[in-house]
Amino acid sequence: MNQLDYNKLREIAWRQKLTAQQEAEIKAYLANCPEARPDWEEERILTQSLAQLPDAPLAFNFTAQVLQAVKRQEAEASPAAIVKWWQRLRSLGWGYRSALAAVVLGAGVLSYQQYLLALSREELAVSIATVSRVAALPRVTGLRDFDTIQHLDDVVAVIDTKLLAALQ
Amino acid sequence: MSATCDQDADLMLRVQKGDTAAFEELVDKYKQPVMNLIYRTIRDATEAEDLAQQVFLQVYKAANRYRVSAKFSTWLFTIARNLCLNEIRRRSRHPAESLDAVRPDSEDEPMRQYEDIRTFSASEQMLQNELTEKIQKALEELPENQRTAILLFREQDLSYEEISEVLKCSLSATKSLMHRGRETLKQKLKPYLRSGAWQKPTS
Repeated sequence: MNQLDYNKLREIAWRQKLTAQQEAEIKAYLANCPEARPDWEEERILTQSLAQLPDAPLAFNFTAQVLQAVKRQEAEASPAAIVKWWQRLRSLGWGYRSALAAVVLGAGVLSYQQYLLALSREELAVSIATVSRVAALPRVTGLRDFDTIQHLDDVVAVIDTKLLAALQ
Repeated sequence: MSATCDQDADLMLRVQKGDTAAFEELVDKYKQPVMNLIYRTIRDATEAEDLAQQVFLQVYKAANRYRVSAKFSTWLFTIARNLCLNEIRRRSRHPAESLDAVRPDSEDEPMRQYEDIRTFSASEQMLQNELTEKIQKALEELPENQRTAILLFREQDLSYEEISEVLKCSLSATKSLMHRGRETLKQKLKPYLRSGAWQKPTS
């Protein structure tokens, strides 16, 4: 057995008891390499000590507490909870109710303003996009003689007819 | 997938359908391993129990997101570790000692929960308590990822691959964390490990 095999067996021993054959292999390795014995002993005792660590303290009714917490959370999210909130709201005095209504209204107005702002920004963006498309077209000065050039072919054709007639 | 894994997956599928009995079964099965991991990470029994409760609450709330392809215990310990990390971050921002904290040297230390079929004489028990305390302290002083790797390896039948999934690192990095953690523990506990004082007491 070489160092690599020894390391593998050492890792196996971290988790489970070695088989008789594996124990024998280790024994043979340690007989050949006595300098590895202290490390093996430390490993063995450390593994044993970790396995012997006591469990953390836990309330005897831990599971019941968890189930209660789950029920509580479910109850908070249920329609009954919404009804409860509505009843609580109705039990408030006029002053509180008006203040609450004002807050809700204010929040509504604010969100509408935000919506309008977003809308105007969108329109601005569309306008900028249009302008950038127009800017990409050729300049007006470049198109100044466009019509003349366009009709040049017709003019040449007329002249050619007259020339042919003269030659005949 | 192992039989345990299948069983957990079945239970989770039942939880997804709102079966609280299945959830109760899962809590009963995993409460101690989860509590052990949290307690050894934050070392405060009361807070550890609160966090363990939150872990299971999150499992219940997120049950619909659970996919059978993932091993339940890997998913559970990932949630537990994330909550521990949040707690550690919170403590580093507000470094106040909890009044409820049960310190290791206090009189009502968790030894009351220590179930062991072996019998110890008074001196053996004292030695055992002292050594347990030493190893807990040494574990506490390890970097979080090394400690979690060692505890998960010890606590649960999680493979290296599954531990690397919980720790969100590669397989080789996980193995390296385990090795480095164990080496540090051996260095710190050398006097005890060498003296043989920690040998398993004979029954």
